[in-house]
Amino acid sequence: MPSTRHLFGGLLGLVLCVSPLRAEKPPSPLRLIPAEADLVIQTEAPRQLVEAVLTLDYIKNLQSLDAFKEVLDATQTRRFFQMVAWFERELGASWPELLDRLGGGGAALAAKIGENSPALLVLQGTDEKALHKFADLLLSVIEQEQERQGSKERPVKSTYKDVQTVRIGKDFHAALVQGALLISNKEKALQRALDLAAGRDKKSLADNADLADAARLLPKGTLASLWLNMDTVRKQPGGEALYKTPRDPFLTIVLGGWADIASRARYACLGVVPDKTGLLATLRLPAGRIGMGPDRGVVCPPDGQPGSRPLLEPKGVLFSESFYWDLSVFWTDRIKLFGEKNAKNIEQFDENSGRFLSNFRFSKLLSQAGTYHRFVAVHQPKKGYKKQPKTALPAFAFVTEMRKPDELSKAMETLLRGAALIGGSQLGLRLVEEKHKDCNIVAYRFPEDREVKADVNDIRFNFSPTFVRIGNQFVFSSTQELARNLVDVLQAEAKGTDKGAAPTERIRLYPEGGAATLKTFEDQLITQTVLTSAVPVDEARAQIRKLIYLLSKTGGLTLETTYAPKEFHVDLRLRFTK
Amino acid sequence: MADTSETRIDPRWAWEAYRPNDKAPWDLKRAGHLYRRAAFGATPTELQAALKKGPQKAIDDLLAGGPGQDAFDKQTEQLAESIVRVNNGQQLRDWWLYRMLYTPHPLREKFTLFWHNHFATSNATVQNAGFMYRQYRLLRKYVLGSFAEMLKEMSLDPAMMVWLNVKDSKKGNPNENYARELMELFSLGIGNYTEHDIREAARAFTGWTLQGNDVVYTESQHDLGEKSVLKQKGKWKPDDIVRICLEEDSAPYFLTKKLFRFLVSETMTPSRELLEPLATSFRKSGYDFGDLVRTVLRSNLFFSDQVYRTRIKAPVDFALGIVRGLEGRIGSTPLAGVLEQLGQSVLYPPSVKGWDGGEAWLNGQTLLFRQNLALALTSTEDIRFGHRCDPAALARKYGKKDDKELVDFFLDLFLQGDVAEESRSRLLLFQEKSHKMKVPVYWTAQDAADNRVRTLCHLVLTQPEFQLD
Repeated sequence: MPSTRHLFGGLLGLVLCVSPLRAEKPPSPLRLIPAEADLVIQTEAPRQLVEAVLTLDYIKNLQSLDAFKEVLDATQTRRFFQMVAWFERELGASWPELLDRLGGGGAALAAKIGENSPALLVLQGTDEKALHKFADLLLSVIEQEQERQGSKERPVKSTYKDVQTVRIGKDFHAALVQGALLISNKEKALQRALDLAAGRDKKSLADNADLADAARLLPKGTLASLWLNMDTVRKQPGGEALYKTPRDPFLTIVLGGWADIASRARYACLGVVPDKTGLLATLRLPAGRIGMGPDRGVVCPPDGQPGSRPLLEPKGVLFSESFYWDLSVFWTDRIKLFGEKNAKNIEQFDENSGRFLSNFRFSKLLSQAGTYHRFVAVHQPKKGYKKQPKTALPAFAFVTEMRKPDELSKAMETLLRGAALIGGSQLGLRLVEEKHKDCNIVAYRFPEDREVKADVNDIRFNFSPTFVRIGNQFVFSSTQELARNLVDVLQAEAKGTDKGAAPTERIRLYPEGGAATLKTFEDQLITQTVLTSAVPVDEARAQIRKLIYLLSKTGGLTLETTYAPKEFHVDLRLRFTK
Repeated sequence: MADTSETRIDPRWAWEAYRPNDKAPWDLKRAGHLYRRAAFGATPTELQAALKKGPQKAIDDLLAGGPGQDAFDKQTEQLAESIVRVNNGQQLRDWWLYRMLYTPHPLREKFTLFWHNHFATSNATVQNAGFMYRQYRLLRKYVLGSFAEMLKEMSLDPAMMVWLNVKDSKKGNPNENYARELMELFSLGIGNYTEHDIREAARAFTGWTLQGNDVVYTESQHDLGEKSVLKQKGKWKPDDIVRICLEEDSAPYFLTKKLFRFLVSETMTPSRELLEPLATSFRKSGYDFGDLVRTVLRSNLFFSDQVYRTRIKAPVDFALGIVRGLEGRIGSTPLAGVLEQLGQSVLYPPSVKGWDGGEAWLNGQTLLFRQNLALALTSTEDIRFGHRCDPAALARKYGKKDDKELVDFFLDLFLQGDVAEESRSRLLLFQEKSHKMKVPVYWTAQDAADNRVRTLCHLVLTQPEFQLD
């Protein structure tokens, strides 16, 4: 098993070998990959990638968890480390240095999209002699493992145009050429790579302008990336219906903006950028709000306006989301978005909607609804009932900004009171009205002296459905307590200067709230640990508490979606420390 | 395993206490037989201890259970409560397997499983982990106690009330499901009651329903009229129906026959004469099931060659026998998943009749699954089961090193050495040859030796005899 000493040694080795690497930059592995590949996963510096992950403090902390130790102590893991140590001995270098020698020129895995398609792995070394020795040793190890497992398959050596190749079974073909190790699941794919190496074939991915473009689109410091040819993706079954407008209403509502971007982008790329504090995974496509179809009105605000309002962060927050979504466009641009036939159906629905919407028209509600919406979930230990639910659930709320606050809030109140009257009578819901900081909070509470047969775990005491208007914001909350908190938060926000940021969707997971919620499920987590791994109860409890503690010390997870003028970004940021 | 009808067994000899003798000595074979039937197999230490103790003390100790039961019960009850709170039936199944695997009192769990198969109630219908847990506790409470009391309480057990519709049975519209199964499957057996008896008995179970977690009696919903059940007339209530059933001559025979199949032999059909002494004392004792079990476990017939290996191991016995034998620690959740593939998911029996058992356990597919499970449990390479069920570690613990010692150790542990000489020779030959088997060059000598031991253990577990109980 590699120790901290090995890791520091590796880092030192890395520093020492930076100069020679610069001096003789090895050729790109992409030169050996046929141009028609649709998908490429690559890293230009495998060693840096591995070390960046292994040296993270958070990963080190995770290693102190018994569950993690158990994985490290597993037979297979132990054997893997033994194998690494053996390679180190045989090749006379530590594993970080070996990573440089064997893959310092980069590694790329490429594939065609589709069933039973070829895939090719290219590992470009910086030390051809070491790579040859490594390949020989690897082959012997595979042979020994095959024999141990009673497999009859053995490596078969042959040549393809003077280059030695090795086959094991039907799906493993390998060769060494120009200091690179090639492995493929198809013989023909391997031969194509060898043809490229010999200059018999000229069309490789190295000349693909889109790949170079993607490298520029991804942030600096990207250590691993994925590139996907969107032309091929669009030709997949079902693609035609998705990547066009007008399209099916359901697909438009769920995927509209994304589908528009995907229909225009030449490629999609994904980059992973680790640093000392955490990790960024970013998806980027070279198409943005410029040139966007009718979906633009739904998912992008007019130029100059924020993409989304600030995240709501009431006490105990564990999840917060803020996004832009202009519902009125679904009505005004219905023909462009959904097509004439679907638009007519929507119009028909609208004509009849007054019957079940207390005389309000569906189209009117859409037109009055606002564009900025937020959702928040909080850990809320006190539920406002004397009786406590046997399973505590987080409280949550949906907050929407109204275009015409007076009209819409009046309509919503009428609708909600009517629905509560009809639906709540069977459960005996009790209406509670409360004035909090000039806002009229309307809540419905379950009676505590009444049995509900179906609710054996008293789950209903997690809820007191509530609504309240705060200025131009309308709040639907699962509990009266959260609604009260949101009145405070939204009133403070109205007085502040922060009106939002560029991303049109922002999501954040809060470790403190998550840890507090996990704490309420501690018993269930302990039980699951005991039953899954047969550790004693006390040990399981200690493990879970440590895990919750570690979680509470992380910096959280954020996801942001941005429609830039010419680009589309989805950034997932994981912060390991606060 | 052809069905044989026993005709020549002397009932007096059959149920007399077994005394070791030249023809039937107290040996490893009989100790292993006892632990397989009355528990879930034995560890090497337990087997050797049982040999030294002799049959009486070994049986007494199994019936009493080992130390630490209270602490184990307290800990596992806390786990159960957390499962019930979130109504997770699948996890409750895993929880019970956990108890079976690690309880200091395996006999109690084994017979709780027997009763679970008798009153076969499935959470697939009940959909309430709290009710299933309550029924499990009821079974465990009376597992070696009064069957009469168990049956009375079972009649108004919430899980049973949902399973067989007692909760919906009302005056004027009685549901007959429970009354029918009470007679057919729980106490008398087919042919010992009439449809009229069922209809009348069903009236006695009207008026009980469930409110939340509680059983509630509503007199206005109960049929207070006179009922005629099994020739007895009166304004019967549920307890009366249970009493009337157990007063029938057929009841003790029906129940002793069921125990005979579970504990003695699946292939032998016992005559009424053979069961008569058991049935009589069972009835006289007020249906004391503990007494009945004690009598059978101590009997000549139980330790006779006629009943040896005359049952096919249920999946639970197969898997737990391996884990307990190897003194392993594995999670019960992954194991439960595999047992489901093998056809036995506890708390989810396939029908009101329970699992068919016997030859129904085995077919080409389940046999292959069993071999794969044995490999997964013993290889230490299967991520589901980890590396804490390791034949090599066990062999080291007991100081077994050379090939012959190792072959005998695992044959004794799992088959009590009772295999054909040819099988033993083949295993020995394999073990000797395995020294020449190539292993990956980065393995240590210890890795290679351990791997040989694990492979040998797996081979022992694939012997046909290991499928038999």
